[in-house]
Amino acid sequence: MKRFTATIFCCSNYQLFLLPAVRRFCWGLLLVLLACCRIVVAEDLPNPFPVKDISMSSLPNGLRLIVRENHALPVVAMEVVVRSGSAAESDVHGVAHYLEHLCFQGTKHYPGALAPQQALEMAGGMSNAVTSRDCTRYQAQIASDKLDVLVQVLADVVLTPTLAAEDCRNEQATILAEIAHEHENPTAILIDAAYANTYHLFPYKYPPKGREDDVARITAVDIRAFHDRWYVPNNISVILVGDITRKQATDLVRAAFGGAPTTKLPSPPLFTEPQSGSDMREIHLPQNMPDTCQVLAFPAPVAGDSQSLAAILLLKTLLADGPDALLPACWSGDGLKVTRYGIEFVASRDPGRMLIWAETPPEMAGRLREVTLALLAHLGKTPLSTSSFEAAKHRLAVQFLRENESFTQQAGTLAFYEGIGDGTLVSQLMPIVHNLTAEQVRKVAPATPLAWITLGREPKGQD
Amino acid sequence: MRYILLLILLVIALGVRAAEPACKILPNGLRLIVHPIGATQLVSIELLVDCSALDEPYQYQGIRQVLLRSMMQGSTTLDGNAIRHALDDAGGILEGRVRQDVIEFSITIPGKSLKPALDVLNEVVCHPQLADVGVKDAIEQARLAASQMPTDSVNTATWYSEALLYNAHPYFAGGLGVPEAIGHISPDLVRLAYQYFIRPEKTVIAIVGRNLSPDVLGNYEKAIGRWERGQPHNPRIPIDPPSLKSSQLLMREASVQNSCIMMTFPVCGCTNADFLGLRVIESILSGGTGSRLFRNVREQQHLAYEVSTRLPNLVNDSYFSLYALTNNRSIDATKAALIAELSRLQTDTLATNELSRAKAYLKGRLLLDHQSSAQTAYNLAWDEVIGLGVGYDNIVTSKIDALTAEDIRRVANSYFTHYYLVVVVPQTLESLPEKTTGLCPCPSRVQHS
Repeated sequence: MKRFTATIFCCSNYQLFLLPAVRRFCWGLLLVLLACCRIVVAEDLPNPFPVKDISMSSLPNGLRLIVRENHALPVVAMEVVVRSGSAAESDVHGVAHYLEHLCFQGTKHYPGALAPQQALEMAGGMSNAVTSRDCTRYQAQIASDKLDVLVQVLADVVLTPTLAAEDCRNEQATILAEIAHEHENPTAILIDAAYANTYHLFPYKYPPKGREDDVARITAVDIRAFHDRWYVPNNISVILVGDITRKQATDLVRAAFGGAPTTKLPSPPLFTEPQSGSDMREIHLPQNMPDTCQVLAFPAPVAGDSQSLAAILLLKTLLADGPDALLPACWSGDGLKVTRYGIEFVASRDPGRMLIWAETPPEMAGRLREVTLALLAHLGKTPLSTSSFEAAKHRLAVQFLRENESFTQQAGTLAFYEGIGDGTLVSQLMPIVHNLTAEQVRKVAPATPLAWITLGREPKGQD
Repeated sequence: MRYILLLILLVIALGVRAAEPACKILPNGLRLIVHPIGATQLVSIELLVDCSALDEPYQYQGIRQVLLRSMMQGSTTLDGNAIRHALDDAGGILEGRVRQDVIEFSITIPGKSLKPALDVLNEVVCHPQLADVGVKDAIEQARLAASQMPTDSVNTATWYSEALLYNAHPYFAGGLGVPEAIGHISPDLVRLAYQYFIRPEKTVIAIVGRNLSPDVLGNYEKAIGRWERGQPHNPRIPIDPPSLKSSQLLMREASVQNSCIMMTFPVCGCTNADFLGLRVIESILSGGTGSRLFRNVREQQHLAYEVSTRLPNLVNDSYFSLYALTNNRSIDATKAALIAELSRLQTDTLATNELSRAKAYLKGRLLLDHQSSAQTAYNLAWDEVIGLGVGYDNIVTSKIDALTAEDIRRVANSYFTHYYLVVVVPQTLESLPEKTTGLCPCPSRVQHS
């Protein structure tokens, strides 16, 4: 290559360039060089969602379509996002999740329990669904030569589920068992308790799957009403990632979803959440366990404030990830024995929560709380070292890249952000992180916790 | 000229799709697999050492775990912290695992960090320090890891099933070893084990990702090529496969509502021709929502929320488990339902579309695995270690297609008619009592309906 370029650029005879064969060769070479440059730039970019590769459009009925083309593997991942989850429920909690289960129990074109999923599996595809507070997501992946099945099945699941009363009754036991299964996980119990005890009125306080007694009184009528209200094209987004062109995507999605009529969405209920006071709630949930699990719950910003969102993601990295993570260093410096820990922060449409959880022997639980709060207070006042700050940025960018390697993961991330506001935000997230200042991160460092909740053995030796 | 240009563009266009993996055997016996793929911006490096739990001396079961942990403590030029920081700067983490059949090191990094990642891996694998202090620390960590019980019911049930099935066989406890035996290991023994176990001719490295720099790969090949071949040593002593003398029931009690019930059958290893048939059976039973356990046990009989199977890739003697998370009142009914599904496989002819669905599901999973560079690298290295070769990925689909309903019935009759284990573990956060309610006999054969 070096010799080739040298020949071209050292050539003094300009007329040589006018020869058609040479001219064609030069244009060809230029194309090749541009292609190489594109790859090299992409390699240097830690952003898996370059703006130029993401297309966003809307159908006339209001459905949003996001496409990320990548033909390197004959696979397509799809997500259908209904931008309403458990927080959109009115008085019966658990309906959004119940509906998610029932949508797979037969549809107009795929009648019979689980027929839609089985149609995907017959074509070698896989499917799943998840209900969160802000949205409900239907997910599937398949070989790209079976694209039509993928789009048709997921459209049917969302737009024309049968929702039969008998299926509703039959599914109840499965949902109750699923909730019981979650109670096996101490971290899940703590996280639910943190949400339940740090919101007064706002529906984020309820677990997305509902509680057992709520689920037991849900009827097919409640489920149908939720579907009619929220499963409308102007409240739905479709994400397609992988071996598919934008035109293919638009044609298939228009054919499958275009016939659904636009419906006026009800106004979201307004809740005036009281300002958090300076008092921290302390709750203990007794359980016969060897250690004490605890969570400190703090207020967190909304996803719409992209700068604060990026800052809190970076703060989370500084605190918990990598060999220099501040929390484990601080705890071990204080002689605290922490067996497991983590930070739970799920970006949300309305003000969310950042939860720091850890498991210690009961005699260290109180001290761990004090040390953690002191670290956060210190962070809020003291400048961060440039090297650790830049290292955290790099770590977060690499982690984002790693969490978005596959088409399935990329579709999931686009769908997640679409569900809480705008999927195209993911393109800006890492550039925003790159430009963050230490001052911006210090500003989001929470100081006053809303609640301290412990599970297992009662903490000893606290003030 | 036009043709040359077209050829160049064609090569670039083809390069966007995955190229075929290539395996090169270096003069020191090390096998190096390179597989450029365009679907990722990452590079994954997978290093597997063909060193099985069966290679461990009986009185030192767990020495591979100690060795791995000791190697991660640092090399002759980089201590453990320096290694962690070097990889953190490169955007990766070095992970080490001991599996029943191999010792594994893996790193996933952004493409531009390939060189520093390979340099660190070279240090850890070829020049470990193995100083007394580090090894003693590793012994303590390994002893703790081998004595830790899982915290959830499915993994606890798996632990008991493996303990009962393998008993004195080295695959016991996932190949992590026995705490008492680990306590007898000395630093000198670990240094000796390094010489015997970690050798280039027993090592396979797979590098999978985008834009793999030929210069970096060429230099690495030279560096790793300087790793000296080890001395020949005694071949592995054959060990009898685990066998059950009768069917057994292990039940742990707690005052909670739900439990995990797990049924386990000993089966062949993954290099046996029957293993792919077992994979198809797994897909028939638990591959997606169209599978039998999901449809019949969960959706029709409402006996359980989660129903699934386990079939680990073990070279010598594997096992097939069926499990369900169920209400305590439904344990007997669930067990009967699981047995009924196995019996149907043994007696009834599979419907063509059910077999097609199971095969499509299995092939779909294999295709979707290619989305991950780490999974692809692991699969390539593993296929090479167990003798299937890097081309196996291309032929496995046709092998699956070639399986008939009769093959499936024959495999089901070969493995599901003998003694089996049933383990019941409560779903509870509370610590389980130290003792079980007893080891009771249960029906010795799968009851045919």
